[in-house]
Amino acid sequence: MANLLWLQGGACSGNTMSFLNAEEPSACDLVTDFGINILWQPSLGMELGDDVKKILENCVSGETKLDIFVFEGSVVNAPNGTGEWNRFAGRPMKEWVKELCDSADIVVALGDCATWGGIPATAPNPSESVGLQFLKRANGGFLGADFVAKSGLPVINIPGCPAHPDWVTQILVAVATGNAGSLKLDEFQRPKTFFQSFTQTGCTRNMHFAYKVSTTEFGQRKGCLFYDLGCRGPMTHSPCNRILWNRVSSKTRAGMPCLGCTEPEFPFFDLAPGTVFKTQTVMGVPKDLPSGVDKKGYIKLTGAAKAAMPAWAEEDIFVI
Amino acid sequence: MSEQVQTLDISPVGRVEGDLDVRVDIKDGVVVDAWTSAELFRGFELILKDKDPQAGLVVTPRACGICGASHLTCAAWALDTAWGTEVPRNAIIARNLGQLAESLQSLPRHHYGLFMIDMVNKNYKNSPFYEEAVKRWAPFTGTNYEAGVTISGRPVEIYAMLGGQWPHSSFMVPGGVMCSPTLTDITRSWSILEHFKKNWIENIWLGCTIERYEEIKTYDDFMAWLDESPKHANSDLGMMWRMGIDIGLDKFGKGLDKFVSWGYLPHEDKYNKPTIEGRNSAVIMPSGVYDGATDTHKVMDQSFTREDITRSWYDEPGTVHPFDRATNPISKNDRDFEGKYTWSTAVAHAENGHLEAGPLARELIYGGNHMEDWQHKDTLVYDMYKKNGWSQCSTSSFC
Ligand code: SF4
Ligand code: SF4
Repeated sequence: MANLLWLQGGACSGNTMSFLNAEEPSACDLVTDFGINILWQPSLGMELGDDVKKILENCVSGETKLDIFVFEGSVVNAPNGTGEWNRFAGRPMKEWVKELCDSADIVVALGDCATWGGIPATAPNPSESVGLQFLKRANGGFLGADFVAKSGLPVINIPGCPAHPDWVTQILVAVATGNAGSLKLDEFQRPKTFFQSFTQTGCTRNMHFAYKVSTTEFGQRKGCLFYDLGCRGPMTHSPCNRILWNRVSSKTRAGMPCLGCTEPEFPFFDLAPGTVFKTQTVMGVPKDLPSGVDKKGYIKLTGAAKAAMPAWAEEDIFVI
Repeated sequence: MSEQVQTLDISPVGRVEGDLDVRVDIKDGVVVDAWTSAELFRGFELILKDKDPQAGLVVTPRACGICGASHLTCAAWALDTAWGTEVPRNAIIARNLGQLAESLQSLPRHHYGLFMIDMVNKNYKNSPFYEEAVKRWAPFTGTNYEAGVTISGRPVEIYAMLGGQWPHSSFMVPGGVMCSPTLTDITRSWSILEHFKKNWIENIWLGCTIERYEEIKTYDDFMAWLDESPKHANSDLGMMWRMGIDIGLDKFGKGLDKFVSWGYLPHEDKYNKPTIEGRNSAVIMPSGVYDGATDTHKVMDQSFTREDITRSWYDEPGTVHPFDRATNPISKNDRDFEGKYTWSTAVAHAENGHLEAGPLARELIYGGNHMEDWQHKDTLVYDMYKKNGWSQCSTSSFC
């Protein structure tokens, strides 16, 4: 049995809503089949007011063993580092977060706001938001670069806006069944099992990517979204096209460019004018190239691809 | 009985989106005054300033993970309006499908996850319905809790087929949508709706067919439906209603008795090149203001919209049209119950004063005669509300 506490800071509840879409295991299965005891969860907990405070205090004092602390949402520091713009159970949320992270065996940052700051931390970051152990790409965040939970592990980052329910449930099961030690984390403390491959891995538009055939406008029934519409699939680490969303699809399959939401910079370019759903180029070459590919290599590759392109690639392929 | 007023602070109130605190004054066991404090400020309006116009499609849905489709629809609509866009008929239908799929998801998720778990609170253990309620609705382990929460994920698979994922897609864009569905998407979507209808709406929630349920037009029809068959009475809706009456939900929850809705769902033939003034005549679900005291309905005209900031932690004048908001948060946000005590602002109307919005408001507005004949009309909740007097608790949860 593992006790789990879940709180939300500068959050939208999207990770909770995503979590509730889980199947195999479902949220209920976690409780009934995998021995996870949910002490409290903002959208599901029975308790209110002082009863919630008591649960939190018992976790902090050690009277209740806190095995897993899940935090969703950014840590709000405004105004002027006090955190008063996000209060919870009678005090700034950030004070609870500090004490609970220090008491927990495992700390999980869930979603972009909790991992890197996410949308709230987009310039001008009005709420002075940070992630638990990162702010964008910079290690540190709220808890500091040196933080480790009682288990000895740093914050486990499950990014995404929101995170996919299976990324959450599988990590929770691994942790609750004593397998946290076998999780391999990357330099951003993301579980490699999900974040080593790319969003592009498994995308249905890969053939069009290979022949440099572009979807030039939304809704076209062919093409790849990289060349004109700003898809970040080749530069983004996520399993969105391996572990499908809501069991059925992914953004790029449906025709929406990947926004790179599992990477620390999301939303990219701080959403400056001209950067949304538009590939950024210098002299016709994309500024951000597929991971590990250099400019010379890219020009050679696309030259060869164009030359080899079969005629069918320009015809509709995802037809009615 | 004591005459003294007792003050109770509840922090946090759970199962609402965002951090909420409530203070109530209680006299002789009755709440005589209340203050709600929204305790989170992120400043989305400030983040969107000076950004790409399409940033709204990425940022605004992320204001709320529960109703992102509504925010996305509005963000796309705002750009359609600003740019005078034409949107293909099928794209309007795809947007509406997305919006409705999200609403369908909300029905079981709200009822089981957020609302009915309060009915298994041990304070109600003397109710004859209690034991059955625990069996069905106890969090995580209740039979219908588990069935309802799990099936709530199905309708949004339709959203994912159109937009790639739910929550937080940006598939609605000015001029249309990003997707171009195929036979697979359409057939699967249809089949998901059939599955949801058979396995939850009809057999667990209603205990009858949707067609039978839709014959209900008045409160009396509803009560007759309850009596008609034990299947109806013992369905989750039937039991929620009956237990609600037994534990007194129909006795409290008085609101302002004044309601507003903008209406929603663009009509596929009336939406193109949308304008601000023409909004109501483009939507299937009509807008409106309902004033319970005079029992009158009227169309909601945006020029009368006001946002009341008097009690909110912003350094801005008391009541303004939303177009004139600046979003200037004040940095010392102490809770001052005589002054400012919340981040949220209050919905108001230049003629009617403060108004309530939300599902009950929408249903009451559909009960009027102020709409066009092609717009949605439904009198059940309106009739229920009038017959049950001012109490809103049971009628609200019904919506
Ligand atoms: S659409 Fe995006 S993820 Fe798919 S192949 Fe093209 S670049 Fe890669
Ligand atoms: S496709 Fe890209 S933007 Fe969408 S969820 Fe996956 S990583 Fe995030």
